[in-house]
Formats: sequence, structure tokens, C-alpha cells
Amino acid sequence: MDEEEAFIQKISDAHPGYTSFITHFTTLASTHPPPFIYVTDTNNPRITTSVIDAIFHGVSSIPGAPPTQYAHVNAVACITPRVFYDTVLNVLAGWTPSWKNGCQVWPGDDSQRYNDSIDSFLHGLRRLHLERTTDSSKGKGKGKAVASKSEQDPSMVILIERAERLSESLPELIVPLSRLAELSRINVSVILLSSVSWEDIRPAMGAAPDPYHVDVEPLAKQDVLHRLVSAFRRTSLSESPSDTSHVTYHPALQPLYEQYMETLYNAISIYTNDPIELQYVAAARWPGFVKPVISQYEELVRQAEEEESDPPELEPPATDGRLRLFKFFLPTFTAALDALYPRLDNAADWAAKNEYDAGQRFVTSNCDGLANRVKLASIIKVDHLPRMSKFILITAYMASTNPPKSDLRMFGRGPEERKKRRRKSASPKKTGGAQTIVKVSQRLLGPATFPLDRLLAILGALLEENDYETRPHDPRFELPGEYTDMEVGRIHIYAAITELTLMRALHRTSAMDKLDGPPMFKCGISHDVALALARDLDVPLNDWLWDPA
Amino acid sequence: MSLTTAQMAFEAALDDEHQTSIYIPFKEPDTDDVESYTLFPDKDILNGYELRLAAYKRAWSKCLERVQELIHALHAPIVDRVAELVNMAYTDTLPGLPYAELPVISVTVFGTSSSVFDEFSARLESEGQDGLFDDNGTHIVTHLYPQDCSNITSAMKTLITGFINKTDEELDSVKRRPASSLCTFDLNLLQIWFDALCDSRGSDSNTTRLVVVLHDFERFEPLVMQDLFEISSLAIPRLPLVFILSLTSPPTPSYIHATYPRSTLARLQVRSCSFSTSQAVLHDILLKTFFDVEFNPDLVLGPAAIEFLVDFFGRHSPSLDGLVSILQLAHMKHFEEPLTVFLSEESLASMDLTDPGSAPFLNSVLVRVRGSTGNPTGWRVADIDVLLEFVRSVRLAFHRQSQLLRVAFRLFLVVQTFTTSLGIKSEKSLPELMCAALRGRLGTSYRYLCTIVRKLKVDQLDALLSEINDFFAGVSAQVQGEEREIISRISTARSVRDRHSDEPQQVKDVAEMIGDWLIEYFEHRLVTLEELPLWDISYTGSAPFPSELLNPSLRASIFSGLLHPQDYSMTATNNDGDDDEETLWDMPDTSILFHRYLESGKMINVFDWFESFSLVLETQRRHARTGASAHEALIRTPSRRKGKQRQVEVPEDGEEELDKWRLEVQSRFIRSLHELDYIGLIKHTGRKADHVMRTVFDVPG
Repeated sequence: MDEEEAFIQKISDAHPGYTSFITHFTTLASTHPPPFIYVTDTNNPRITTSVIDAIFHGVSSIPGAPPTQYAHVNAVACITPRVFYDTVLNVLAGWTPSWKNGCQVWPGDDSQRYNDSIDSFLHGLRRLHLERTTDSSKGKGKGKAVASKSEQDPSMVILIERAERLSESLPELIVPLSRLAELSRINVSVILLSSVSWEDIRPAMGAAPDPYHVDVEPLAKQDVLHRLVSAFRRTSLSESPSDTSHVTYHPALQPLYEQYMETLYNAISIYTNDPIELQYVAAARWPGFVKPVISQYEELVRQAEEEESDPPELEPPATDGRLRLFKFFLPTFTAALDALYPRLDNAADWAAKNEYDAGQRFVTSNCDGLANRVKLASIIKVDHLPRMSKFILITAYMASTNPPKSDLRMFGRGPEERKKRRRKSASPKKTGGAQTIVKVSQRLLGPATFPLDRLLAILGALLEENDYETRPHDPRFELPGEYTDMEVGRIHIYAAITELTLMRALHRTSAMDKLDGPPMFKCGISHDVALALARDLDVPLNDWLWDPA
Repeated sequence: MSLTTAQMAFEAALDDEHQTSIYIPFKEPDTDDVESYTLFPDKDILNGYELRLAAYKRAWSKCLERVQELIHALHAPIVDRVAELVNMAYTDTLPGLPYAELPVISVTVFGTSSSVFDEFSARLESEGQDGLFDDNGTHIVTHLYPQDCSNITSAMKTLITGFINKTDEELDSVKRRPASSLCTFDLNLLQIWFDALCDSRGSDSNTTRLVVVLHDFERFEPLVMQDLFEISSLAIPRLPLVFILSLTSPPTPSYIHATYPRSTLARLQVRSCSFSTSQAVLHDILLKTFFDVEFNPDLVLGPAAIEFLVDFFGRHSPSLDGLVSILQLAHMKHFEEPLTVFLSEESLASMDLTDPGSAPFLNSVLVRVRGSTGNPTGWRVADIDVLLEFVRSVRLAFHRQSQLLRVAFRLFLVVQTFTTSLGIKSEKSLPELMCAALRGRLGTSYRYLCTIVRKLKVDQLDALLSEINDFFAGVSAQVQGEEREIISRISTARSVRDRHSDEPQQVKDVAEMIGDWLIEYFEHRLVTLEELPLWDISYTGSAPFPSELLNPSLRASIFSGLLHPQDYSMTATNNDGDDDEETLWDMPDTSILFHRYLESGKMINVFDWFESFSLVLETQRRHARTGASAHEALIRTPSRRKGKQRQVEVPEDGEEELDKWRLEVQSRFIRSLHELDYIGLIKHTGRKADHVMRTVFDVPG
């Protein structure tokens, strides 16, 4: 069993924190894996996938373990059962379709097809198994090792990643997959890997047998750090050391990186401790972080060249240098997370924008710059919309937040309506009644739907008060409101509404092909956008809202 | 009436009760008499329509070419940027990232035409073809549209077949068997195809990118797109897929970030470029098309059209396609005027003025010529050549004058830019200045500018002088010849300034002199073009833009169509009587019904409505009978469909004929009623038997 231990040790080194999982799985794989395994990993399914990959790709090398064919598929990519059958059979058979022979799938001839239903898939598996058994018995027959029948029996393993998607895309396959060994009568095991638990996707009526459950523990801090440092090692190996521009990942900098990673982890682990996200943020921040060190080193190299002496070795900075670096860069860690975690920016662009600038006065200015940048990103730009579209959007916002019954009071402009128009503070009559139902603001409830007619009516009211002066004079219209009425009925108003719907600033809630009745809409913009638009047009938005902020 | 076989078959089909629908072919009554369409029959030339159409085509294509050139130049930076980003994808990655990200370029194009995406494709597909025989590096571009991607299967299928079909010539397209080959929505197929492609091209996969353009990205179903991105991200970087998203929503708040979950966003490397048209873009295009020193448009746009254009652009649709349509419409409208045949030399040569049919045209021209030249002497046919010569000279003079106006306007802008750089802002926007210049009302603006010029300090004055000098050095020799006076004055001033250095009094003198000269120059050049003889050949002047054609008000148009159908018909009806009741019978049935509709209360009794309708039809029938021949033209009133039915003429009211007539009235009533119903003017409430409700009340007469 030494070799098995060495194998476990090797994989555990590559994936710190997974030792118990790896031991468990290697034992399963090297003996006789249960036919149906369900792995639940709520934290890092991507990493777990790579761990399982590593185990099954190498498990055949362990003496005593059965020869294993391993197929790894992603449930999202299997959009139809046929893609699933093709992919699995091709991988298990080690078959590569080629363009020349018309991209034929295994077994490569027309005599038999194994991808049209679960039945033929099972036949395919059996044929594959048969071929393997004869192959291996031939191979073994020449060799001298005589093992028991069960050990020789080759096994197949199918790993299905993102298994929660099976219930959406291939719901009819869950039950057959869960009893695949039973149905095909060969040694096959199916591993479903998912971030949700089996209970959530289990088919009704107990049609599927209970799987062998394996849960993956979340990673501890030290394991995450180990993992990230080994990623650094891999990067520095893959980058060509001769190239000076790639000195960023020089192996000599690894001690600095370890410390950098720990500081970064401490700074942002309260927001995320996903190793992949951490690595993403770290990769974006590291080039800027290490740049002062490298520029100092390059300076030394240049001096050495001038003095014609040997170039010095790259060394991580001394303690006080490191402290200064960390003090200087610490605020940018959270800024990086702010921009990168929601992917407001991508890592490469963020790294380019936040390079270390030697001329800058550092802590304050850089900080301010970052804060400004985040602020700038959140500023809403509305100037590209034409004037009428802006009005339509504000109107839609009003129509979605104001109750329809309030329209006449809000927008009616006769002498008596004006008096009745309610202000926010004008409802003191219902005081102290515990029985009053708390009315939740429409803004919190989300936008309400409104018919097109209402939108146009409110738009007319809004335009009459806010747009009249900007229009070119037209002598044809004399009656008050006549001009606005004409403008609201113009075909480009309807065109603008359609266009805004297409860009999802308005949501059409009624079907496109429904002809009777006015089309219904819902506002698709937020309060902030509406405010920005109103500011742009000089419309006092709060005066027009039934329930202003 | 002799029945042809087709008619007989038609009648038979009508009688056949098993037919559920019958196609009634529409036959144009007389196609010959619509020979030359004109709005002004009393002053148009023979085949003036064709001549003007040719002239329009020439003028418009010149203008269009210029505008498209400008738009193309506007697109160039964003096309370059996208090409650069596509080339950078997969090569310029940040080291140390946990996984490869799927490169996504979101392109915000608001207001510009979708032709920009064709420019992307053309650019990307020609990228790397630097060497003559080397097409290894070309990218392959495919397009996805929302309607192709209702679900993930069809989206994948469109994506994959889109790529594979592109290289049919390059790769021998092998026959794939549907049952035993990889299916067309399997990304493995694309992978195999790509490997084969790289083999056959002999290139490594680093230079080729597979570019997918997603048009109207907002209209794609987000769930489908999530899956598409996830599946694609599994295949990279072996398959160098790059997505280009075409967005019309604003860059902030970003549609992608608002709609897609973080798990999807984390797979993407989103880079954005945006192109949005603004007023500045419009001003630039206008300036370079109609106020350029070098470019002479055939048709000079008048202030009314410019004002409409600017207002429409800012108010309704900042789209460059819209801009092109407006310009085209302005051209079309202008060439309705018979006088515009004179615009092009070709039509001038080919027109036949000696034909008697051209007499009205000649008369109208003559009136204009007399008016503009102040020459009251008579004109004879023998003088046609003289007239044409006169027209030529007038046209030349107009072009010269308008070009000099443009030069003066540009000089005005140069001076204004200079004073703006000194911190003196102009209150008027560029289009306002343009319109004022065309109207000859720029006086206050340039006087104000020249007042500032008169007070300039030494170094400022020198800078301004050299700028004006540079400006005139840049114009064509012909213009320089025309403007030698002001040019020589400027160079005099410069030489004076060179000789005497900074004496305050002398500087002041020169500055005042320059100010006065400039005022004089502007006064001379910035005058309205409408005072030139026959200016309306190539100038739209203050003719209002036909905005109703481009942006009509739906209700108003429908009502005015129903109320005044004559205005919309080709053949104008000339009725003797001007009483309403008398003209009513002359209208199409739907209009008659609508008039009655307007006179009723909130609910309309359908039977009463029918009665009143049949009364009008009775009048119509009587008229048709009494003056059948005289009213031949009337019978073919606007709606041709109805005209046919009215041709049923009854000499005597036999019992059978009367029944037939009643049936006809009924069917015409029902048809018109349905037409009104379809427009939405009737509401069926079911509250009251035999009644329908009006939906429209106050209709402006």
C-alpha cells in the first residue's frame, strides 16, 4: 500500500486541505467504487472537480486497483441527452472523432448507434465493457500476474459536474444514471458533484436509490494560503524566467508573496474566502504591489551593468521595506475586491489601471484615486438618450410607483384639483391607530404594471409642464394643451417606447401578439436612474411622486 | 358588358358556397394617365418629373456619399479598438489568474446604424492579411440574432453551424451522417472543426479567433445566454472564442452587470467600448457637409431644415440613420419644385422648352426672371438660349456666393474659437449660428466678436492674425482669388505688426483696423442667399421641413384623413358646391360614416347610423345618375375600391334593382363600420342593444 500512500501524498500536496477527502476517495476508487456517489460541495465545486479528476486519472497506476476508465462531463454542456451519450462514450472509449471521417462518434461505423436513447447507451456501455475485458484479459494473459476476477474487472467512472442542472436539462436521465450499474450490469459508477444537496434534486417517489454521500469540508485559512502559494509556484514555473517582464513571478519573490497573500486574506476574507476569488484578486493586485521591488532591482541591474560587475540576484525586500509596502497597498486590497468581486472590471484592466506609479504621492492620492474611480463607476450616465426617451422613462417610473387612483390628484391641473393634491405630510388624520395596516412603499414592492394609455396620459401632463418652452413655436396650435397632445401622439413616441422596451429600460408584461387591450408595461429603471434623468431634464421628480423619498 | 373567362371564373367562385375566401385582384383603372407626377401642374415642364428625379439622384448621392464618409470616419476609432481587443484576447492575459476568462467585448452603439457591425466583420476577417498570399491569421466571424436563440440548443446550433459554414471552401466539407456523427449543437464538433482548420491552414491556433457577434444583446434571453457563456467558457482556450455584444443601453448602469449573475460574470472578461452619437457629432457632420470650405453640396440646406434636424435629433432619435433619412427627405421635398430641373447641367441640356407642353413652365420661369432681373422686356421663343444662358450664370453666381458664405462662416468660427479660448463664451449653439448665418442675421454676433478683436492685446492679436492667415492659406486658390481683398488686408496688418514691435498705440490701431475690416468682410459675405435671383434652384431656404412625413401624430393623421380624404387622394375632386352636406356624398363611405359618428351622442344607435348613411348614399346615387358622364372623375374618388361599386348605374328603379341597391348599401355600411372598428373608434359595450359606444369625442375640425 506504499504506492497508494505516495499517490495520496502527491495529490494532497497539490490540493492542501483535501487530505481526508482524497484518502477516502482513493480508497473507494482503488477498491470497488459504489455505483452511485453523490458529492456535495457548497464551497468550491470547481476545486473538488479537479481533485476527483486527479484521483481518477492516476488511480490505475496503483497496484491492485482495477483499470479505470474515467469520463468527466459538465451537466450544463449536455444540453440534450444525445450530447451526454456522445461525450461519455467517446471519452470512455478513448475515441477522438476527426473531421476527415465526418466527425463520427464511437464506434466509428454506421452499423450500430448508441446515442439515441438510454437503452442504446446501456448497450454501448456493455459493448465497451466487453471490449475492455477482452483487451485486458489478453494483456494479462501474457503477463504473469494472476489476480482474482473481481480485481481484473475494469471499472468505469462517470463524473457529472454541476449535477443540479441535470434536473433542468436532462430530468429524465437522473433515475437511469442513479442505477446505471444495475441497468447495464457492468461495473460502472456514477458520481454526481453538485453544490446543492441530493434532497433538492432527488426524483419523486423514491425512483432513484440513495447515493453514497460524500460531503466536502470547507477549506481552512492555512490550506487556502498553501493552495495560493503553490499556484504562485506554478505560475513562476510556467512563465519563462529569461524574460525580464515576467520577473513579477520570480521564484525568489515567493516569501514576499506568502506574506502578501496572508495580508490580503486577512483584509478580504470577511467578504469571500473562495480560493479562486482570492487568487483572482491577488493576481490583479500583485503586479502593482511588486513593482517597486522590481524597479529597485532593475535599477541595481542597470548599475551593475554600468559598473560591469555581475548582476545581483533578485531578493525580496527587508522587513522595513515590506512593512512600507503593506502600509502603502493595504487600502487598495479592499478597493480591488470592490471592483473585482462583482466583476465591475476585469483583472487585467484593473491591474493596468492600478499600476504602481513611482511619481505619485502614495497612500493618500492612490486611495483617493480609487475611491473616485469607484464613485465614477457608480455615476449614472443618461446623456445618450434623446429628450423624449428621458421623459418617457421618468413617466414610466411615476406610473410604476404612483397608485393609479392618485393620477388625477397628482397630475390634474384644474383649480379644484390643485387644492386636493396631496403632499407627503398631509395625512395626519390616521395617528396612533395600531390597527392601521402598514403600507409598504411601492418602491420596495417593485414596479407595478401600467397600460400604455396611462403612460401616455402622464407623459402629456409632464410634457405640458416641463417641455412646452423648449419646443419650436408652431402657430397652428392655439388651445392650451393642444400642442402637447399632438406631440404625445407622434409616432416617434411610440417608437421610443418600443426601443426602450428592447433595451429593457421598460418591461412589456403583455404578450407581443396580443391585440386587444392596451399593452402593459413595467418600469425597468431604478430610483437613482429616475432621479438622474429628472435632474438632467430639470423635472422636480419628488413633487410628482405619491410617496416621495 | 362582355364577361371574360377570368371574370366568369371569378363570378363562379363567388357563387360557390364552399369557398371560404376569394381573392379579388385589384386592377389599376388607367395606368397611362399617371405619367408625370407633379404637384404643380400649372407650372411644370413636360417630363419634368423624370428630369427632376435624375437631378435629385445626382444631388442626393453627392450629399449621401459625403455623409457616409463622415460617418465611416466616426466609426473608425471604435472599429480599430474592437479589432485591437480581439487580437489581444488570449494573448494579453494577466499571469496568475485561476482560470481562463472568456473574452467578451461589449460595444455600446446608440444612435449609429448597425452597419458598424459589418465594418467590424470586414475588418476582423481581413485582419492579418498583410502578406499577399497569407490568410492564415484571419479571424472568423459569425453573427447571432435574438430570434435564433430562443433556447440553448438552437443557440448552440446557430453558433456552430455559423462557423462551420464559413469555411466551406477552405475545408473539404465532409458529409456528416446525422445519426452517427457529432450533432450540430455539440461544442466538440466545433473543436474538431477548429483543429482541422488549423491543420489545413498550417497555422497555430494563436492567430485565429472565433468571433461571435451577438446583435441586440438586450433581447437575448438571459438564461440562454448564461448557459451559452458557461458552455463556451468550458472550451476555452483551446477554442479561441471571442464574443462581441451589441448593446444599445447606456454603459452605466451596465445592462450586463444588472442582468447576469455573478457566477456568469466571473467567467467573462468584459471589456467595453462605446460609441454614442451626441449633438457634437451632429454639429460636426452638418458643419462638414453644408459648411465646408472645400465641399460644395448641390443643394444647400436652409435654416428651417437645419432647425428641424437639430430639434428632431435631440428630441426624438439621435440616430445617424435618422439623420440620413431627414437629409434625403429634404432633398426629395426640394425637388418637387418644377424650377429645380435647372439644378443639373444634364437636364438643362436635355430639356425641350420649345414643346408647347412646356409653356406653363416657361411662363412661370419668365415671371421669376423678370422679377429678379427687373427687366420688363418681353420674351420670345427665340430667346430660349438666352434664358438658359441666364439660368446658368445665375446658378454659377449662387454657388459662388454660397461658397463664399461658407468661407466667411468658417472664418467667423475661427475667430469665435479664438475668443472662446480667451474665456469669452458664445451664447449661441453652432446650429443657431448656422441658421443665423444663412438668414443673414449674424450681425450682432460678429459685431460683438469684432469688438473683442478691436480690444485684443499684442500677443493675442498676433496669434489671431496668424490663425486667420493659416485659415486663408488652407482654402482653394479660387477662393483665395475671390477673397484677395481681405487676404491682402490681413497680410498688410501682419507686415505692419512685424515691422513695428510693441508700441501700444500702434497695436491698438492695427487691432481696431482688423476689427473694422472683419466687420466689413462679414457684412459683405454673410448675407441671406434668398436675395439672389432664382435662389430656390439649389437652396431650400425657409421652406418648412415636411415633418409630418417623418414623425406624424397618429390620431391627428387618421382623423384628418377621415375628415378630409380629398387631401390624401391622388385625383383632386373639384366640387362646385361648398356646403358640407353637398360635399359629404362625394366622400368615401368610411368618411361619410365618420362624419355621422361625430354628430352623434356618446352611444350610437347602429340602425339610425345606417339610415343616415343610406340617405347620403341615396344622394350619391342620384348625382351619379343625373350627371353620369359629367361626374366621371368624381366617381373615381379617392378610395378606388369603393369607386368600382359606384359604377353600378341604374337607369330605372325596377324592384329587383332596388333590392340589389339595398343590399349594396348594407354591405357598404358594414364594411365601413368594420373599418372604423378596426381603427379603434368603436367600443362594443353590450350594455345597450343595437348600440355601440364612441371612443373619440373632441375631434378638431
